[in-house]
Amino acid sequence: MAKSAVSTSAEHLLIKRAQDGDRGAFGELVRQHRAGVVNVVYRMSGDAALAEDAAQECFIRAWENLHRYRPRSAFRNWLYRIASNCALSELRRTRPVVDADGLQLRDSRQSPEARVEERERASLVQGAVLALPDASRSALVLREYEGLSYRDIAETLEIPLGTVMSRLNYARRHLRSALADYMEAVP
Amino acid sequence: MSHVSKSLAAYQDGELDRRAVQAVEAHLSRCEACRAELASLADLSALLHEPDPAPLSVSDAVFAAQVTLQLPREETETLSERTLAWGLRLAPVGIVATWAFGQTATILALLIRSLIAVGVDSPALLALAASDRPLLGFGPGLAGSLVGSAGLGHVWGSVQPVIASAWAVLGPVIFSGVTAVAILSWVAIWWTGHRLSPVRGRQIGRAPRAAFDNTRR
Repeated sequence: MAKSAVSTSAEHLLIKRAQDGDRGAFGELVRQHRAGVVNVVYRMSGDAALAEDAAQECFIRAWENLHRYRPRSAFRNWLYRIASNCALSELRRTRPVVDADGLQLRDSRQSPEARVEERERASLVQGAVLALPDASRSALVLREYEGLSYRDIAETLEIPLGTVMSRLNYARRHLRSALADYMEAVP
Repeated sequence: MSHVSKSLAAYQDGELDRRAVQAVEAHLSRCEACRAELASLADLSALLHEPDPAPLSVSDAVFAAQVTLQLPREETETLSERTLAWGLRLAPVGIVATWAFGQTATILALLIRSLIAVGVDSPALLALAASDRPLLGFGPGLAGSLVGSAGLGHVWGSVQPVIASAWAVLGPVIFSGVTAVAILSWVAIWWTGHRLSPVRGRQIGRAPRAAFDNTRR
């Protein structure tokens, strides 16, 4: 579940200390936002193996540019913008390939046949998401997987609210079309 | 009947205000097509969540430690570098102080000469002006001493007025010129050092500054 967009005063304190060069405070911020950043990179790139490495790179970039962060926007949104850029940089370097074996499925107690079918479906879902244009995919990932509000997505991607809605509508329309055969199979 | 397709995604995402929610729900209660579309959006959302989040290979604490170890460190200055840096910072103060001292001395010398010229014969002023060499300034005074000690005092006596006049004009100009060159040199050294020094938060090449800057609106 996404955390509140408004940074807490405790988080502000950590950010301030980190901006003053306190690496321990930055480490605490990394702990707090690690799962979200890894998830954003993973959903954007579709590569589970890459996600943690790219997330580390994202945090290092954040550290190097921490003095540019201003608390007028949520720290999480600022981090997700960097994470999104990191993922897109990786995708430009390597073609997006869905790693079907690396996909994490919910129920490990299913029969082998059911697991194969589910893995295939998950792979198709991941492929359909990856096939979206970068701009629409960023908005979709932040909304669907990180639960960001439209306003937070607008702030993260630095786009108007109306553009967020149009990008989400575009992404969903295309996904519904691409995954039409599987929509009814959703349990 | 106009459909509410464009608002359904925002409705599902909880992004509509109360009035819009009421309008959409009123429409949904009587529109089968829009209800089906809303269900389709919900199905899509469920389908998108089938692949679980990426597995986390290590704990948050270990991950944070790994990141922290990779953070670039600021280069620490040695004592001599710090001393040099402080010297560089204080250099303009020294240059300006020297210039101010020289200007003050010149003005005072002119003042004393003017007072003596108009007939003020205070013993203190006469003591200050006991020798004309200090009034000539350091350069010609030293030159006169050297020439005199070489046994050529009579030569010095003939050229001394010319040198004194030239020095009186050129001395302040040369002094101000040297001061200006020193200040400009300091500015050049400071600017070069500032541009080349590894400052905290150095710009990295992979992404433009705008990607990290949340001060723009």
